[in-house]
Amino acid sequence: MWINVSRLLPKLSAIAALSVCAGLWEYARAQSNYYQGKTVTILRGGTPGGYGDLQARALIPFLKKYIPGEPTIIIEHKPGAAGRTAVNYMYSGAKPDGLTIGAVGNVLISGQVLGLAGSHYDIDKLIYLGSTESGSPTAFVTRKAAGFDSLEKLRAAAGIRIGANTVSHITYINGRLAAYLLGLKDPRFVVGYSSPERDMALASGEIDGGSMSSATIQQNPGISDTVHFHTVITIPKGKYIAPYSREIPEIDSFAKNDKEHRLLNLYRAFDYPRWPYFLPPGTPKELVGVLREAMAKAFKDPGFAKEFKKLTGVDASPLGAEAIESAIRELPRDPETIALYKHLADHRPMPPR
Amino acid sequence: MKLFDQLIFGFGVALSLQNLFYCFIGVLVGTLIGVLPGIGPLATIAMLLPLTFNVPPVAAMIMLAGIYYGAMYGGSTTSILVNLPGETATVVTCIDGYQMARQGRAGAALAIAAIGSFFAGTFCTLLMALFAPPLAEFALKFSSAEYFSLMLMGLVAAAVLAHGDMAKSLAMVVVGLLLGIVGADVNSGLKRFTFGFYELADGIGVVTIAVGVFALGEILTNLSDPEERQIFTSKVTQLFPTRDDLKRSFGAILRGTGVGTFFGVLPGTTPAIASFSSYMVEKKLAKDPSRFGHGAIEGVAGPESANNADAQCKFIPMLTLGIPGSGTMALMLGALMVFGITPGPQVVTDKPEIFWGLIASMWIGNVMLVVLNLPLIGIWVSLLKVPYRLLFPAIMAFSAIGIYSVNNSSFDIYLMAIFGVLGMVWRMLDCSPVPMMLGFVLGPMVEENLRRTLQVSRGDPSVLITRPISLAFIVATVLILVTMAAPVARRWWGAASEGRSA
Repeated sequence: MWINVSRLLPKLSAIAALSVCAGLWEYARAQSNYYQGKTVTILRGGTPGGYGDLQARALIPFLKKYIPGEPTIIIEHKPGAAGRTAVNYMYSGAKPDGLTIGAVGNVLISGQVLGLAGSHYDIDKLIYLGSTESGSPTAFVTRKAAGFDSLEKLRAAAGIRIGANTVSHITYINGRLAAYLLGLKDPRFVVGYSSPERDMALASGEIDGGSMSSATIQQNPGISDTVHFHTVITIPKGKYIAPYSREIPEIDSFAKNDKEHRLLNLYRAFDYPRWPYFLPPGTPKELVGVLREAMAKAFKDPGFAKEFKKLTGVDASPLGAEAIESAIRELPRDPETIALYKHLADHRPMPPR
Repeated sequence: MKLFDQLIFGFGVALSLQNLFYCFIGVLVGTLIGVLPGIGPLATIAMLLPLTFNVPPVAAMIMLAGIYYGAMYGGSTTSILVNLPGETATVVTCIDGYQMARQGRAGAALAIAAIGSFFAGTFCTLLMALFAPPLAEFALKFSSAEYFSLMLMGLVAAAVLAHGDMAKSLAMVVVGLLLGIVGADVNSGLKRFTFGFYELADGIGVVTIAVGVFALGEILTNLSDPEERQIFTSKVTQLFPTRDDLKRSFGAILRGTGVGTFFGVLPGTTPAIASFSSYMVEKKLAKDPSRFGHGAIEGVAGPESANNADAQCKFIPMLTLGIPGSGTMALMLGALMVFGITPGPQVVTDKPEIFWGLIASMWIGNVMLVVLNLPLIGIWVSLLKVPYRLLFPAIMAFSAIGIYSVNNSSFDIYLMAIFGVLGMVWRMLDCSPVPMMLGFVLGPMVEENLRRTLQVSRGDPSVLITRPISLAFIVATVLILVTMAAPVARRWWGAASEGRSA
């Protein structure tokens, strides 16, 4: 008995197409069913109430909106070791089931690259979803009453007191970088301040200068009238945003050699991304795809930008997963640059130039 | 007259149905949070903050403020009943409050705590209305030199907390200092005494120590002594303070309010420091200091007034200068900015409904807290009738859940257990843990402020005596030392004279 294939072919093709469609539909239904009725936990590496907490809370309603199945999303706090406790847990303790998303600050990358104690993870193996901000540009300022209205006067003065939070804190590193590249004489670093205390100390004359982020200035507009701006670290490089104007020289203009340029690139890489969201290694690709797509859509939602600005006082500058992965791949990892950065980040006297 | 008009305006804002409702929710949640060990007003306000974004700013601030000072009311309940401090600020209340409960006078202790807190809240509400801007300006005169001198005075005065052997008490202060330096040094970033545990990089949590030493330590001590395991039903007498109790407490409440107000306007201090200081003042001024530690009602009245006064006065620098005096105030400041309000001197004139509405609501909130807490005394006291075989496991479970909720870390539970054992050992050796707690709280502040003072002054220590306020505290410290040393010196001199004449 002969089978007429040519007559059967259209029918077979239709059946095959229907099967593929059914399979895809089942796949899509499975994806939407997967998160339906479930709870996604965003594991934060900080304490509740701070800036990091608020940026996550700004994202949550929009992330929920775009994850198929609209799961409940909650925040869980696991502070400790500047966020490294949470990262360690995500790397080796959390189940790779797409239900736990890690969210720590820029210590994620610097912790491992600099070999900070308690960094038991590999940034190349984590799976990135995105970041709500792409860096926090900062300026090095001195109070107007101190009289350093030019770079020459700043360089001529010895023992300028620069305020910061703690050793290795971003405010401390900013200050040390600026002091190093500007060539300040014997700068003294006064640490232990919280951010409001540092602003108070600057206003009262207890300290002479320090780093000031764009976020601080946007939240306190009057503060910029009381300080001189000497240099700014833009992130990414060259991207000036309000309130910094192009009249303030970029810190790169003070770098004298290739090593110092690499140092600044390393600094920028640590802060870009500013608030990375990530999954543990081994998370199934399908779930990664769902979450990445949801996060990308959340970032594009006009409501997210509005909510972010409302909660944090600054504009969102989101980054996608690919941008984060690319930044990590291009991270300078040469020992000389890292050693110099570590020296600037710790308590030892400033390195010679 | 203008002040009166402004207060009337404030009450008009605060007495709206919506604001009354949110005030009630705030103080109720705050009371519950205060009772639970571990989770505190900071975490609660952070969690509830997004819920307030769809609510008018005044109502939102009233609710959040209610949570903060409500927690001070609630924290004393478990401190008194079962020696479990709900908040760090109520650790001191454990000393005499729990002893009062053991004597069947838990009701009187709870009532005095509520009454003292209400008085302090009322006083501070008036103070904020009348003197908020000048008080805030006074606070600005305090720099790291003044903080160092003040905290040093507190450390030296910690010997006053001692009952019994002075040497043991001073040793416990030193133990507290040593525990306080565990963690990363802010000036060098170096880890101190972490023994490789990165969980200790941020130091030991004060709540972990307090709950371990006081609550768990008490349970373990009671378990080791069968005769201690009695229920107090036969001893529960009146539920409210007697006239004598009120008479004794009156001065303590006044002084506690003053102490709490002083520390409240200073940024960087905590209600715990206010309550410890108040206890020291009361013990020093008492005609019979030996009563303290054995159920002296002044030991409850003073500290409870102080911690509530501190909590309310923390709003003064935040509202009038935009300077948050604590982490919780920083969050409140953030909340105001989310609502588009920039705190500072202009908020009194530009946003009078926020400033005066908040002040008026604080008094209303205090009334609500007294109304909430006083009738509940009978219910709380009945908790003491629960047999120990049920109560002890419940306290331990409660404590573990509370401690875990802080950092979501089981390491903290192990630490709490270790401190529980230490608490039991210290009790067996008749070493009071209270001076240890003061050393633990004040030690890091003393170190940090001294180092910052020397960094700011470029290594010149004379700044500690050239600044007038710092000099005043240094002189007071020397006087306290002389006062403490004088009896010892007299005894030594007398013995030496007798030896010579013999």
